[in-house]
Amino acid sequence: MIPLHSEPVPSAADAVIVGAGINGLATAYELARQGLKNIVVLEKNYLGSGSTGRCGGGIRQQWTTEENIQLAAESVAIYERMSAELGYQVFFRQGGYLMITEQEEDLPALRAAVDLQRRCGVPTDFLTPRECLDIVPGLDVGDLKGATFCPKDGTAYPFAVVWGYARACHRLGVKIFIKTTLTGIEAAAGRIQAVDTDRGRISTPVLVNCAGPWARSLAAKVGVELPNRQERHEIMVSEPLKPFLDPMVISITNGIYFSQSMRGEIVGGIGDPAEPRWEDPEDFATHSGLRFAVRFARELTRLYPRTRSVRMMRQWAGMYDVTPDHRPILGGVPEVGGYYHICGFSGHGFMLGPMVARRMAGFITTGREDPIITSLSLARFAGGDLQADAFVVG
Amino acid sequence: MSGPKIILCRCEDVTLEEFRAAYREGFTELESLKRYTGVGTGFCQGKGCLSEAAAELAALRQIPPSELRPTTIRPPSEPMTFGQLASLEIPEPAAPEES
Repeated sequence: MIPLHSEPVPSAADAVIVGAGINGLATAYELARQGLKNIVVLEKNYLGSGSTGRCGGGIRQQWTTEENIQLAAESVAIYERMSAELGYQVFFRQGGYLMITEQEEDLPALRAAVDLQRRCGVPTDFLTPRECLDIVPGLDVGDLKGATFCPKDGTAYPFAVVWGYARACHRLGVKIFIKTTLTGIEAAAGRIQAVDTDRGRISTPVLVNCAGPWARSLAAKVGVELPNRQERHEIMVSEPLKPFLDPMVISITNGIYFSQSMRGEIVGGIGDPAEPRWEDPEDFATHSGLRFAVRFARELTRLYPRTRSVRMMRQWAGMYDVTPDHRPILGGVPEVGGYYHICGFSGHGFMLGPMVARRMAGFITTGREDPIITSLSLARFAGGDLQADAFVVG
Repeated sequence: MSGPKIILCRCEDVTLEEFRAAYREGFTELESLKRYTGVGTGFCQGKGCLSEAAAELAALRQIPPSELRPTTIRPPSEPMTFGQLASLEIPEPAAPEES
């Protein structure tokens, strides 16, 4: 299914995509579906080895900006049919997202978010603490002030989504090269001309930067300065248990989130203001720490005491590619024709990726303006009038 | 199925043939084989199977096992309950040096 290491890269392509996470593979798939030929995906490690394969698999539509709500809702519609469309079981399950708060002052924002989401067609409801018990029996609601719940939010298995897109790409003739590193980009006369890799040179008129936490250093190779910063975030799974927890539970008070995967494991993480950030990709480190395990266990057992005797099995870390307003950066730049970026998802590329890829493929193949891509372009940071999404958790 | 069914990973119930089929599909690294087949992701976290899986992969690729990189070891070394973990002191943030 994937060409083995020894095969050289083709000398020419119609588009080169860097990164075989969800955004790179979904974009390659959508470009191929929209008729582009000779598409190459370059991945320096293995499929999903960057942020996608390390993520929690959550897919929610509960956001506070219209672009995020719309992209997430459209992505949910794709996820609902994804296993059939890709011909691969991606374990999408709509158990909903329960977003809780322990702070009275959050309630007006939660209510406003419900109103906005409902106007966008997302069926979110505001719940009292007691009503949360109908969704998650056993939750300690003593300190809760309120919650919102959308039954159409859910989870999928990140690697299965990656493998499903990779297989569908392969069927459409996309060439995916793993263990292949981009070493240089040639731009001349204001256009992308070629990319160099450790397996050869590929001339191409189109380069799509889907490199996640490495997107900023890649963009710098063509003189594009991205405002993204890269952060480590940690996550864990428990031993597998029989199904007992339907939704993803997520706290906007302290950044904990947890759900139960279809393998039965509790999957969860918690944000930490002390997480390291890096400028240079050489310094990226995704080691796991006891600090995370203890902080997560304390919050999990406080909110959901029945987990006290459940065993944590494995923890790991991944990278968020974070923008100043916590929203992705999409589109191209006027200075370099043929260069596009799909990055800066700030921890939410898995849930927004399918529709971002579809819209970006349309934009790349037709050049037709897309209002969401325009509003999420790099140019927005020059204006200084940013509309940040408030519901960034984990 | 022809021949005896050989279990490679007992926790996740992965057979040797499933492991070989994944290799034929293009998963030629231990890290990606672990994720694709589930080998080593169960309760014992690979203590009972990853060396066997590595030996099989070395044979499939016709290389000495010393050329393979082991998968990243994830904490905890033995599963611990959330109750036990919650009773510990919260360590100070570590400097981002080790990897």
